[in-house]
Amino acid sequence: MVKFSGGSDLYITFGMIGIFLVLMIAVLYATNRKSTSFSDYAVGGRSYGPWFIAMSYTNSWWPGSTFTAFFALSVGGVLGFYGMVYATLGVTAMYLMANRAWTWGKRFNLTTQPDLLGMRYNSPAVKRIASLIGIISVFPWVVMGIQALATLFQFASFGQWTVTSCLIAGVVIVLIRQYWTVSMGMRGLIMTDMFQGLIAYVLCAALCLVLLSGAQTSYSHLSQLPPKMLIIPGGTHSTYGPWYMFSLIFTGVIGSMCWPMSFQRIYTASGVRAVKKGTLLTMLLVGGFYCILMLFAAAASGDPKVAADPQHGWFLALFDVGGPWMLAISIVIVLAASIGHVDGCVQVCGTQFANDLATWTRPRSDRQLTLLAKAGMIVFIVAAAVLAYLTFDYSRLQLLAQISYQGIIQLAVPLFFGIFSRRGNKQGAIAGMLVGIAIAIVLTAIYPDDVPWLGSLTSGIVGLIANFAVFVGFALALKPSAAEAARIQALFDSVETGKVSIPAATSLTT
Amino acid sequence: MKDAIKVAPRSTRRIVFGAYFLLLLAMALFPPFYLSVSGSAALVAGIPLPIFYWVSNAVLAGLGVWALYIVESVNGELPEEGNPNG
Repeated sequence: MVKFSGGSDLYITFGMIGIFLVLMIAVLYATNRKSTSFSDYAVGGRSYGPWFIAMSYTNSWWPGSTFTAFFALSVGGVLGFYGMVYATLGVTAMYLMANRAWTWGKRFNLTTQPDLLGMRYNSPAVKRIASLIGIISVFPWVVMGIQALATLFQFASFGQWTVTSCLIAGVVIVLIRQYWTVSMGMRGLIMTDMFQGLIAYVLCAALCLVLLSGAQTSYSHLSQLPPKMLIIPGGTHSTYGPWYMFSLIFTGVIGSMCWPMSFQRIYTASGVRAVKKGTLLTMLLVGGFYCILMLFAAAASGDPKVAADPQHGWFLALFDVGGPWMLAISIVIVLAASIGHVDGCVQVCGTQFANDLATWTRPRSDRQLTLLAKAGMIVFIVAAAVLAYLTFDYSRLQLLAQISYQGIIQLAVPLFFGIFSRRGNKQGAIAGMLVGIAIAIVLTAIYPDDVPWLGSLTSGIVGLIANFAVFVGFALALKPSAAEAARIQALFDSVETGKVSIPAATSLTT
Repeated sequence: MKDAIKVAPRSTRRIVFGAYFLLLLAMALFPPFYLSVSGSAALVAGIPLPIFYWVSNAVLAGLGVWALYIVESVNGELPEEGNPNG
């Protein structure tokens, strides 16, 4: 439980939270526009430029836990810095797949990542399995995102509110915010992502730079870090095997485009150039912000209070530097990041439910799809809020989140093959994903962190290897029909030539 | 400079950038590389080498994508768009 002196400063922390929320709602009302179609509602009419793409991607990529879990990693040692490596290398994939992903998206009116997989493999089953994996994998993160807001209110109340009160406050804030996510769809999300991103990432980076130039958490502290902080896991004296860091970074790199909310940013762009320029800006934001925050965390590691409670080190360090005002700023920064991430998750899951799953038995009109997406978002966020309340302090939830990461990367095989190669078929995509996710779930339940007898490979990587083998096996064993080969050829050629001459079999409507 | 970028055939550019990004991936993923700096207290730009190692990998990735964007832009491979928001 958080304990502070200075309980009379509640008006500062809650005042700042209130100002943030009022400004956020003002942005929503100022930019509100009625959607004219499902594409408009789901991907903002494919109309956004590079800065919006970059800020929206960053919001969907770094959740509030960046300021707690990742911050704690860098307080403890060099491990936390691996995040900026996988984040920047991962987003490179967005650049490389932009041409085909965006062009196919525009041509076939694709609105989700599973939509693309379904079109590429000409299989509604591939689309639905990928969509289910995505929605199920995102769910625990939304639950934990809501629970993380409870921690914010513990700090905002200087430890005076009970855990239950803080949790209820977190749930209420999220539910209120989702009114606009549901009613405005992607447009509302992208506009507030810009506002939230400016606070969560730009303000945070600027603040950390100022603090690193000060005395208390000076940049010069980085030159005096104790030797144990400089050990990279996997070496001779490490408890982990040599493949542990490989697994963490590789999972992050390929996972970046597997998360449905990250991939969907491609479809919100106004064109291939916007995606590619947006990627450059994303790298600056995602990598720059994270690097500066982690340098600050390492510099603050000498503070005894931060070292004793690294998970809350971000709040404690800022409170030590600037008292309640600085604490209030730290809370608003994490609130902006948390809300941005939860919004993105809710939006994409509702969209996928309508677009990929609710079309199971028959095609739907734009109006029906929009209504179904809204209903899906409401069910999703209410279920997450209820679970967040019921499972607070339930340690196994963290395990579910770990399984979800190992599960979501199973989409990488059909996704990367589907975009970068003409090989592969729907049978391999389906069997590979199912085998991969089954192995990942079983192994994560037994070895939540790493598999020691495999040199500390993680369960997701083991599942991915099996997934890859199954996918390639089917590709070699089942040769495509002449019609399917011609369809794939035309699909890839159409990106190069800009001409639409795809055989009719491609028109996947369900 | 622009002319030199323009004359480079597409296949050459693919090999150059492919090799560059593969090297960065190896730097990030291949244990002997990153474990070789583990525990080093040597300072580069005021920060310990293991931290600098990860930071430089990310910076090099960013520079690589930036260079690729310039090359594609000069070669007219990035279509101009209408009037996007932002």
